[in-house]
Amino acid sequence: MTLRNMQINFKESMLQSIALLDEGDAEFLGDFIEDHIPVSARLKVYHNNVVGSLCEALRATFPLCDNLVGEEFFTAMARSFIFKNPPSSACLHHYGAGFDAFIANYEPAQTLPYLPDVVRFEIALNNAYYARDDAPMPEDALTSIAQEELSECILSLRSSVTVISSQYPLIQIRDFCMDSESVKAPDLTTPQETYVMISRPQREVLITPLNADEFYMLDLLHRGAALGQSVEGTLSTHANFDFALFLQKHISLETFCAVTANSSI
Amino acid sequence: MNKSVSHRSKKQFDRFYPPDLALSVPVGIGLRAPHYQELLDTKPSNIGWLEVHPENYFCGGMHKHFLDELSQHYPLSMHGVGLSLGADQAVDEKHLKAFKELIDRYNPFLVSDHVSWSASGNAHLNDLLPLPYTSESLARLSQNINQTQDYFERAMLVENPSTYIAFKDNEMPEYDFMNALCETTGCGMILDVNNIYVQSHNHGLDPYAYIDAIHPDYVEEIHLAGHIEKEVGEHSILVDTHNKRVCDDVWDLYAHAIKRTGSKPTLIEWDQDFPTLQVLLDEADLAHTIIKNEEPS
Repeated sequence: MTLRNMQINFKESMLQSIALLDEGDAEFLGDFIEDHIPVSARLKVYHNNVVGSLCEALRATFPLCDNLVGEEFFTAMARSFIFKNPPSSACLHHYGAGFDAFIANYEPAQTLPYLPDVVRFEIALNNAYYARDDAPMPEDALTSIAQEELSECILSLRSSVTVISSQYPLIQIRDFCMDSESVKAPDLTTPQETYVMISRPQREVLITPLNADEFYMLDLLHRGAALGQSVEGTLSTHANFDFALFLQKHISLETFCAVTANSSI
Repeated sequence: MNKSVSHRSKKQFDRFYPPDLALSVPVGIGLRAPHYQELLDTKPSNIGWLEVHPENYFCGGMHKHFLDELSQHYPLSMHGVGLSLGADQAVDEKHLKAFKELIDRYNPFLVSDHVSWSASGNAHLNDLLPLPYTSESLARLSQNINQTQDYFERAMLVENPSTYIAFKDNEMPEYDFMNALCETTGCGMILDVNNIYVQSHNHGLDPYAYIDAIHPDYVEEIHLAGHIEKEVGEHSILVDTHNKRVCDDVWDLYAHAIKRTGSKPTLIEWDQDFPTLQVLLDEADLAHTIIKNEEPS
């Protein structure tokens, strides 16, 4: 057998249920030396290493999800995910992107409709934790732009920033998972629009509740809309949006990394 | 950049170590998150260097801040776990680029990875998987080591693996395979003494004969770690778990290795079920004592 075929077969044997190793492809199992220890028992050591380590990597990234569904459920769900979505990189910091979409279609989780949003929230927390260390925009950066050019400017968000809207009280869910004794169980039955920003101004990841207009504005900026267009878009749905207050708050939160005049784009 | 894959002699890369390197102590420990703050606060002098897995520092954030600070106090060895040098495909350029950026930023005194594979196609299996010891895999691994050394513009080390299974196709013993890799690519070897112990148990070999068969000039670093024993019927498989102290048999084997190679930078590895920092420092002291006692004068 060629090296390539061996590696493909080996990979496939890892990305399936461990029980299948006992009834594995005879030709593949025949590549290995059989002695007093069955080949399948030897392959199981690798299976435990591969699937076990990836499962723990996911558990470390999604502690809230693990807490909500319990260890056994999480392990089964993570294994199903791993078999279909093995990592594409040796760097596992961002492994689990797509876990939210997977869970949305994972049959046993259909009774937990809030779970994909909780996982989306944890993906944002994880992204912020590992985000590039870009510098915040200097406080006076906007004053250096000519007044008539401001509207066409691009106000870029820091690489750690994600804004999320959800029907579930994500911050309360997180607080409850971290301290279920003193935090009241969140109401997951009545939809309530929640807006959250996740960022990492310096070393610590920050979770900031947002108003609806703030969310809209940040979301438009995140999508690359120019400053004027973003303000107009926000005002069209939220007439009371106070841009000056928004700017003051988010400069202080170090949400932005740069303002770029349109002429220099 | 030259991306040729031709075999080369060792002298084409002039050094493994920076010429001005002087380790205060030849023993190092793995730098892992639970010990960041204590290491920074105490800066223990019974270790002379730190080992890091570069893959843990490919992104920004808190980990890199600590590495920035600790690299001011200790020389670093960058020990990759994800180059997948034994895969029957080229080494991932994105991975090489991220690794090289860390080399340029931290100037590690050693750079290394393993004689194993992890990636097949786009799937990366996050383990050090076994290779048959054949002329085909020797050629492929040599090609990937050359690709990596060319990209890094320096010589690297490769580590002998722990394996739990052996291939019928094997054309040579692992130690001959390791010697051949060093010969054809100019790379050096990490002699992982615990892996040799694990291998020998799992495949019925003599660990002392293995060490005696490795050309001592190829050994540039030595690794020590703990393992567990997993029962299989009336027999057992040793698994290289890096979650325990080094066992007595492995210390004896280490003393034997030091007699042959002389003092070499030695790493105490511990990667899960982390103990207190003091346990790692105690293990480092044991290794240092063996070096002082066993090093040929």
